[in-house]
Amino acid sequence: MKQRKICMLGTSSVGKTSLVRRFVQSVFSEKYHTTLGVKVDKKIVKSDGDPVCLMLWDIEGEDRFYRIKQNYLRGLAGYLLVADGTRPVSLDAAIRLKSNMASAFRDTPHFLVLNKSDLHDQWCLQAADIKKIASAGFTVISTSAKTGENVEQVFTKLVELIN
Amino acid sequence: MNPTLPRANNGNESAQNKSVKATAGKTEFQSLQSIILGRDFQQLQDISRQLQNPVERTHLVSEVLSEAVRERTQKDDSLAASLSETIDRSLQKSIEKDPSPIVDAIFPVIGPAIRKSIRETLDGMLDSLNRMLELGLSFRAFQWRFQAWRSGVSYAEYVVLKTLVYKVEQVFLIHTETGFLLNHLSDGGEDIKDPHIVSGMLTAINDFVSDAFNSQQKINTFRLQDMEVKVTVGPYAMVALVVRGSPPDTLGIRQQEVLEDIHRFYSKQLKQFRGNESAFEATTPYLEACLQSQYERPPKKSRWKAWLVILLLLALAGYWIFTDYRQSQRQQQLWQEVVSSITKEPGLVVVEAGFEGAGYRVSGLKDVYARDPTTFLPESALALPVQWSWSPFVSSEPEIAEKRLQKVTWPAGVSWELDGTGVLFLSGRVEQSWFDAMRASLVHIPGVESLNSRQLLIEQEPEQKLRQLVRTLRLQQLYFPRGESRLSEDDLPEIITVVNVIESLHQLATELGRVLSIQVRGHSDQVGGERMNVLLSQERADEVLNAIEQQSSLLKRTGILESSGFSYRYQEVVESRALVSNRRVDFYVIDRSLNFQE
Repeated sequence: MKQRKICMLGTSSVGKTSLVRRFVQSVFSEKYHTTLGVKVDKKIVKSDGDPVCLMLWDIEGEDRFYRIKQNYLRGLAGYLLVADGTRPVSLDAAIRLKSNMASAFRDTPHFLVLNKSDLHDQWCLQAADIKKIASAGFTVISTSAKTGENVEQVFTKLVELIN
Repeated sequence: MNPTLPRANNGNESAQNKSVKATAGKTEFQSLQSIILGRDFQQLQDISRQLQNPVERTHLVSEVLSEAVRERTQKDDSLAASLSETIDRSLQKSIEKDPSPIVDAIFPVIGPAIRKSIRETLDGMLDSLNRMLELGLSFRAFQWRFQAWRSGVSYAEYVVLKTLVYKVEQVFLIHTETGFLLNHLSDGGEDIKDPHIVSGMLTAINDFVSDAFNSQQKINTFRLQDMEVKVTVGPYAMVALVVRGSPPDTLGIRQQEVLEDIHRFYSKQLKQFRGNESAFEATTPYLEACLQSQYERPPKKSRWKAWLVILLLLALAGYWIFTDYRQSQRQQQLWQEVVSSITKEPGLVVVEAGFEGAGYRVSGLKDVYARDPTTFLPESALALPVQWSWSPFVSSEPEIAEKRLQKVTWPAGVSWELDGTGVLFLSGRVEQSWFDAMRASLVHIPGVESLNSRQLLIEQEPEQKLRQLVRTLRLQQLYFPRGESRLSEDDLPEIITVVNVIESLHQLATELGRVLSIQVRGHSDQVGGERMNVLLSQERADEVLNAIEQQSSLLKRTGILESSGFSYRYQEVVESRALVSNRRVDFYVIDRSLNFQE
């Protein structure tokens, strides 16, 4: 069985962990986030009829310098940059995170996930924000960890992109 | 005209020219080489030729092959690992072709190998029995049971924890860069989380530590209580062992060797790894070398407990076999006794006796007067499972004949005895009529061959006896000399006989309710006058009557006697007038109740 490493990136409270929790049945407690800064989960999905073992590295919300522990990214096959539609600052953080990532990962398959679509009426994205997203070359998918909207799809699409 | 021809010719010429020039050049170059390099040139040429020629190359390798193999084997195990697959295939091919050479080759080692294996298995069993006893029955075991109960774990788990020196429960082969699990082995470790995730987390922890302390070094070991995770990191892969207990240093060395072997034999797969773990399934045998464990072994001397138990078991088995044998012997003996006593028993004939199915079976003949075996066999014999099957028959054995005779209604005063030859001895008093009726039927009783009634007094019946007594009395006569009417002393015995007969007669008549009177009749001969003779006859009769009454007071009291004298006219034999028989007294019996006279 093929294995693929996928990292969940994004600033604090954007819902990375909730997305993963929605997607898999976790084995380890979430306290690892606070101790190690990362929690690894597994999910087996089908891609072109073949099972693929996704290793989901849910990396803790980054600090104000938008640095990532590069060690955690080694060997990744794809990543999801998660932002909160109700907080434009999280979108900025996601864009910065991407730019701060080592050049080796720039072409790695990824999506910008705008989470909390269930609170769509509270989104406060401006036209400028949309421009920023477009200029950064993101593919955007809106999800809701609360209702489960697009959660499966975002992972499945990423796997399709990787393979 | 073919314009290409001359060009071709020209071409050929130029080629030839070139070839000639090249040959000349080569020769010159070679000459130059030989001048510059001298003898070395020739040697180089020889070496070059040897390397290019496969035959010579083979020859060269064969010269050093065995030394090379030996040297490499001393250095490490890589040669063995490389050759293992080839040897496996060779053996497989050889066996497919003809298994007999392999069979012949391993034949001498099979016996010792099996013996060794059995010995070691027995040794192991003995050890485990000993261990079980040690852990099951000792004071320590009870202590541990209590502690296990208190800690809420099973006793087995507690024992393992207490006696475990160390045990490698899990082996992870992890891709260093991605943290992907390449292979995983487990040896009964409890509560195993998903190895893929554990592998990822292990890598994350290691990454965290490297990152946190800004070091390229990785964690080698981390411990939690009695659990230890030993990590050996290589350039492409790392081996992590989850160990319970305190592992020896040799485990770390083994782990390092395994990691090196995997890097050596799977370097290509590791370098090209793109997330497909199936390429690493073949690493299992390498990783298995790390699945080691060691338990606290009890000292050899304490094996006495196992021996004691074995001896006890043997003693019990021996006792059981002995008692079983003794019981079967006893049963056999009992059976013989049963058969023998049944055979001896009168009225029983054993036709067949033996063991059949689940018990014994006896079939034979049984007289109706024979005892049932269940009534005379001892209680111990009755415990035997015997099925009886009897057919009726008539026995002529004396004991059975006696039983039949006991059923006969014997008159009082008769006793009987049957001897061994079938002669029935009768004794006592019996009436004639009974005897006449029974004589025939007694002889027909089976077992009675003949009758002996010599000791039997057959009593006549009263009427007959009465007649007999009357006849006897009638024969009694007392004779007198001529002219005499007195009895002499010599007549007394006859008088006594007459008295006895008359007394018996009187008694019997009384019993029969008859009234008798006895006439004492006197007679005389014809000599003399008739009147005188009648008187003489009367005197003679009176004389006898008095003599009788003198002898018997009973007869005197009853008065049944009467006397009368008769003249010669009443003589029976008239011709012999002077005969003495005419001078006599005789007796007549008159039955007054029947008017009977005799």
